[in-house]
Amino acid sequence: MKIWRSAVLAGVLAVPALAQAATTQAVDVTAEVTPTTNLTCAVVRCTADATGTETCNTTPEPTAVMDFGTLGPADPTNPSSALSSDHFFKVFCGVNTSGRPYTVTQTGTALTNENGVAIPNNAWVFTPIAFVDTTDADNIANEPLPGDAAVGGVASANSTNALWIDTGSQTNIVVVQAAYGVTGDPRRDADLSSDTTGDLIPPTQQAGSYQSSVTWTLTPK
Amino acid sequence: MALLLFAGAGPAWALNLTNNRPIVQETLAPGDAVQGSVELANNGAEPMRVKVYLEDWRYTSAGDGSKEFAAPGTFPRSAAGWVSVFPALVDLPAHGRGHVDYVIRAPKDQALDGGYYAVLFFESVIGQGRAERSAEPSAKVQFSARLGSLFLVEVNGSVRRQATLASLAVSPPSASTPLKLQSQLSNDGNTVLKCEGFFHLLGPSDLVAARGELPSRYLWPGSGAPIAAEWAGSLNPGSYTTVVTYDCGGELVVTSEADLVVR
Repeated sequence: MKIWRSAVLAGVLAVPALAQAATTQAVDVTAEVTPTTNLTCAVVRCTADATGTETCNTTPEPTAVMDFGTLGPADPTNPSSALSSDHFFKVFCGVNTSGRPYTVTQTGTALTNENGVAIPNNAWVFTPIAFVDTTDADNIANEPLPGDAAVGGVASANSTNALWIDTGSQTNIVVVQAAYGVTGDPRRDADLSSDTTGDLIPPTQQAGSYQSSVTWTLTPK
Repeated sequence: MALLLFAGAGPAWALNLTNNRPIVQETLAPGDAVQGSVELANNGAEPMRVKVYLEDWRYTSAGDGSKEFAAPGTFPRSAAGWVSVFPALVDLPAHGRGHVDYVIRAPKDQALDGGYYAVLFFESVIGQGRAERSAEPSAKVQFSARLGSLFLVEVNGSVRRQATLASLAVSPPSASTPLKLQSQLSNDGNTVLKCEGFFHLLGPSDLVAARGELPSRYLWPGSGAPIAAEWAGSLNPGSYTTVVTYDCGGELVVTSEADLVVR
């Protein structure tokens, strides 16, 4: 509208003729960046075929729950085989620690039903994944760990302060991954060996709703 | 970033929590107090309840920065009992902020010396309650995340920053093996140390023939950690001096030297 244009132009034209001055003056400019830590996590449901090829949903789970569903025979052709969930979950966490190295750890409880009966610890599995995203501009979301960064080993999720990732001296790791499974599959169980009694969820596992909780902890080094 | 793959993909749960004081560092005289606050931000699209509580922490014996956590008052040099926090629960609206106030009050005990430590955790609260009974085994897992603010409190006038590099041993490289360096870094003081290390190989006329970084070390008072490194270069036959240096901040720099003969 002409009115506001006139007002704006008036303001511009009313600027004192500083441009006429021939002197320069240095001005100190300071800015402060407040150090922060930020943790952004989402969980997605995944499956794996007989060759180990994984397929994950593109939409994260809608609530803060990993629902492994009803446990069925790991070998569908053998009703007497050990029990397993037919899917697992991947956790993606974005991390910002204002350029400080950091660690992320996992603490979890046993999977127990309402009678206190537990799923074997080695069948309740936490797997840190040795691929990350860094701050470089290569648009690669799954990069090998840089420098002296390291992830923890496969472990029972029923553990205290199990290492997920230690960034070492690296300050550019911004996304980390891990997987959770309820399984006796020796490719995925917590000791990565052939099945032993401690790894299997027996077909006679007591019925019930097994529950657990896990917490991820981010602290700067 | 992998999470961008999910943008716009529909309703989804995601925890997104920010804390603006990852490190709270104070120096107090016995009997003195200081107050402050930590601001929290919920950057997610859903409201979030955050539980606030104190624990002890300390570096593990690995010296690599990994930590142990325990109930307040468990570890030596615990400052958890010095800190009062309010509130214990914070409700953060979607895309909203909140804050937690704290007071650190050093005891009047004149026997205090050096550093004392605690961690203030901010943990997302997950729903409680057990699912319906199931005729078959089924499994559900609730998850949460927490950020920790490390409290480092030093008693005014009592801090001793001391470290020792010992047992430096260097083996020369060969056609099939790298140069190997080993040592032990110890924290002989009464406050935590974060140390950055490097080494130099000095040849004839003290010219630098090689250099490299050493693993960072995070040491609890009175603890030590091994140092080990390899260098995959080659050296001409001759006599060298290996110089290992660790800078532990606050003008504390420790060095150690060892002779090396390459045949």
